[in-house]
Amino acid sequence: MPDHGWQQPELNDQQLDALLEQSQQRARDAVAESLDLEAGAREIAGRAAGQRLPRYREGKPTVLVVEDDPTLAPLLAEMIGRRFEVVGLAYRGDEALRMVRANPPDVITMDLGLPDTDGLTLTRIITQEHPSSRVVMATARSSHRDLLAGLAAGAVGFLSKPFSMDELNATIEEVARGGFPIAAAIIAASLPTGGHERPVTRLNHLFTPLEKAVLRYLAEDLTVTEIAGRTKLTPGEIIEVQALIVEKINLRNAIENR
Amino acid sequence: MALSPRRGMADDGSAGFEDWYRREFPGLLLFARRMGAGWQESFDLAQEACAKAYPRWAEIDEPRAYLRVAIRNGYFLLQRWATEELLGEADLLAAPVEGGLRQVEFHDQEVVIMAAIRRLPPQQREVMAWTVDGYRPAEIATMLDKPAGTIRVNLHHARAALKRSLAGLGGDHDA
Repeated sequence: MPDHGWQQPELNDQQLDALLEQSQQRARDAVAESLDLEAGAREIAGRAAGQRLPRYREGKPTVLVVEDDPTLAPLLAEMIGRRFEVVGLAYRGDEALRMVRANPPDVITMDLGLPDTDGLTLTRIITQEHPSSRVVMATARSSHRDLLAGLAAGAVGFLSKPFSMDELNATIEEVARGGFPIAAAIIAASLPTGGHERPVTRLNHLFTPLEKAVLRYLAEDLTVTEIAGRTKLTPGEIIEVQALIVEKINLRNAIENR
Repeated sequence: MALSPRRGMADDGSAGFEDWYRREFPGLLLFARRMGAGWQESFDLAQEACAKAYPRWAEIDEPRAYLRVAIRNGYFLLQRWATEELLGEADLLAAPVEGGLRQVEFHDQEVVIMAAIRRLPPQQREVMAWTVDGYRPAEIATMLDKPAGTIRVNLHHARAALKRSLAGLGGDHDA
């Protein structure tokens, strides 16, 4: 029932309490319907007895979690570990690099601020050395700059705050399958489109070196004129490259969404 | 504090846990959901909290409150990373099917009430999540280590907002 706030008289205390109490019971029943409580209880008892989490499916993607917050990192690894195979937890850039070199994971969740380096630099090194390891990063809300910088560094998964763990897991899943969810974020940030679909693009090397350079400069907040100066192109050509980038992403999405 | 583990009771093992879990787990999951978590996230937070509590079950005095504190602490820690802001209802649809929780089928009334609670500012939302589960402001204050007055003010504002936003449900007793 939609909330037609106008004209409707406010609830009084008794009505609100009655509504919440009644709804609480119905909500509990609905949730209980959607749960396998026996399986849940077995999982917990099994873990206490030393068993691993049940495999919801075989061949779960492997994930390396890079996060420097000592309180958050283990929780993050635990939550991601309920759906994927977490193979490592790195608190620093050098740790992360060592882990990736020893055993490249399918997906890396990248923190942007690390004690010894920044996540973008680390992403650049990792994606050059190990193109099969795909990087997911979280950036500030609607920060065009973070997004473009992440893309230029080679990240393919992108979460714009605010997001939920459910969205994080969906992004890891998509990236592990070879998807390119960052494209959706770019379109959302650069074009005034209405929809909120989640387009998938399957090209690792979507952009040419020139396009990547332009992306990087855009990420650094340079103006078209400044980028033109650095790339020895005319401002008009830069605008064309920008349009090409957007067009490529749109084309990919159109193909993927057919 | 009421929630500190009892001493010297560890020998009881985890007797009674499974019955408790079957009865109380849906409520724990809903608590996480009202706090603002996604559906699967709610399941994961509640399940992880139970898994951690299980080995020392006999030492936990008030498991309902203890686990809710664990869930809200985990939730806020993740939120600090993913932002303080409340998510929309979009994640209702995005919930993956695998891994413990199937799509929850709420009646319209529950959808509206859940959305109204989740739209409250974070502190009011939290106080409301506790209140719906039967906790009094003084108890909430003890558990969260906050002044009871603050809890009462938040509760007052939360209730006022809900009385307005749920006005359309007044007198609607179609259960």
